[in-house]
Order: sequence, then structure tokens, then C-alpha cells
Amino acid sequence: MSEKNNMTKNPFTVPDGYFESLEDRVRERIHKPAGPFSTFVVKAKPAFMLALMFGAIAGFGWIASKVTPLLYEDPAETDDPIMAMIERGYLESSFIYAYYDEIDVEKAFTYSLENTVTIEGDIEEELEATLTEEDLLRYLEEEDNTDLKP
Amino acid sequence: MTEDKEILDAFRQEGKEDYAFNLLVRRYSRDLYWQIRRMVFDHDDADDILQNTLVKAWKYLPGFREDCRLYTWLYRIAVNETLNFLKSKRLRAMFSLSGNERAVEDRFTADPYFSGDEITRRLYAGIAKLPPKQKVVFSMRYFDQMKFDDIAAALKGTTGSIKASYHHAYMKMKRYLKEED
Repeated sequence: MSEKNNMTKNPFTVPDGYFESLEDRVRERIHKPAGPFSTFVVKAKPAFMLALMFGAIAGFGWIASKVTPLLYEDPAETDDPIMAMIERGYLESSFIYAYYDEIDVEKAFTYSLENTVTIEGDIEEELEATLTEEDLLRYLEEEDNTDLKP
Repeated sequence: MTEDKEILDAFRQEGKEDYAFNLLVRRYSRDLYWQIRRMVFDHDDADDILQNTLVKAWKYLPGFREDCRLYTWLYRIAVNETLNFLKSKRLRAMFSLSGNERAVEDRFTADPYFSGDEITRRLYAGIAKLPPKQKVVFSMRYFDQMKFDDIAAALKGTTGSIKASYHHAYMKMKRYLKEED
């Protein structure tokens, strides 16, 4: 017998009595009444899948709403006061390098002298708000005294 | 054809549907089973697919237009059921963590319902690795010597695409068997 004939010969077998019992098993499956649950599952499946799909979309939406603010967090709202001040324009942005790099105090002092730090806007108002009337009067008095000094 | 007529005539008579269907199962289930088994290899899978095929045949037999032989019609249902099964199995295997190449080759050694020799085991291990459509086309052509036109009709494809599928399958098989040597 040639190799091809050998290879095309059926190498499979079936359990004993398989074909004899097949007829009954198929008939049983055909005439088996669908239970109320399986009927319900078949009828409700499309609606269930649709609800599942909407649920998944809503879930993704919720996750996106939670993740997006983290990705685009306003630096001004961070806990880092220096960063917040830079963002608000109270500090020169180049100061960030001095702030984050480890430099010695003397260099930092020189840097602060050479770079103007502006205090205006909100901080000015804030200072006014925190100073009591008494403080202002004392301050003005000192100013006047200074001017009167020889 | 006489048998087909007998089955169909009996099926159309009220109260004789069960008898007709038993005739159909008795006449065609063995041939269908072996066709399916050659494509899925495993007995339990072949049994599932055959039962699904026969249940579908029972459901759609009243609408059978007799434009082909009853066996051809049943065979088309069986092939489509097999193809759907193979596709879903492949999808499951893609997400399976336990699947490995060795398991495919060892399955025939472990299968108590496989009695082929070493060369046959290698041939079937090679076929098992083919994608679903190529597996079905290769099996229909190689084992059943079906014409490409008939395979195309059974799979509702074009003759050209079936020839291409067979060619790809044939080349893969040749490469696989050479590697094994």
C-alpha cells in the first residue's frame, strides 16, 4: 500500500455503540422543550447585550472623567507653593532652576539679588488685608520719622 | 436520490416527521460524522457539531428546496458548523494561557480514539496547525478529492479563493513535514 493511501486511511475510531445511540440523543435534543429560563435567556439576550454595551460606555465615560483631571491638573492648584507662585506670575519662571537645583546659599542669594521678584496684584491686596489699621498707622509714622531724620 | 425522495415524502406527511428524520440520521450521520471528525479531530467536538448539524437540519428541512442532493445540503450545514466551531476555538485559544505548540502534536498520542501510525500522526498534527478555513479546504480536497468548484459551493466562496486557500495550506503542510524530518 502506498504512503498516500496509508495517510488518507481513517485513523480515528469512535466509542462503542456511538452511532447506535446517536439517533436517540438527537431526537431527545430536538423534542426537549425549552425551559422557561432558557426561553427567557434567548429572548432577553439582545436587550441584555444592549444594556451591557451602554453600561460599558458609561463605565468608560466615568473612568475618563476621573482620569482626565489627573492628566491635565492645573499646576497652580498643586501643593507646591513655589510652583504655584511661578504659575501665578509672582516669581520669575527661571527661578525654578534655582529652586530645584542644589546650589549653595551664597549663589542662591546672589541669584535672588540679580533677579527681580515682583509682588503685586493679589499678594499686595492680601498684605493690605492682613495689616490692621494700627499697623498701617505705625508704619506711616515710622516712614514720616525716617523722612524727618537728618 | 430515491432515498432522498423517500425521506422527504415521509417528512411531509403529518405524523411521519420523526420516522423520516430517523431515516435521515441513519442514512447520513456516519458520513457526516467522519467528514467533521477529519476537520476537528476530537470525538467530543465532532459529536457536538454533528448534533448541532442534525438539529439545524430538523429545523430547516421544511424549507429545503431540493435544488441539490439532501446529503449535499446536510454537508454544507456541517461544514459551516465546523468552520464556526474552529473559528471560535481559535479565538478561545488566543486568550488561553495554557495553549502551547507541543500540546497540538501530543493530542493524537493521548487520544484513545486515534489509531494512526507515526506518519499519520504527523500529517494530522500539521493539519491541526492550519487556520480554520485552510484546514477545512485542505481536508475536503486531500481526503475527499473534492473538486474546487464543489468546495467553493459548499463554503459559499469563489473557486479562486478556495484554490488560494488550498495552495497556502499545501505549502504550509509541506514546510511543516520537512521541518519534522
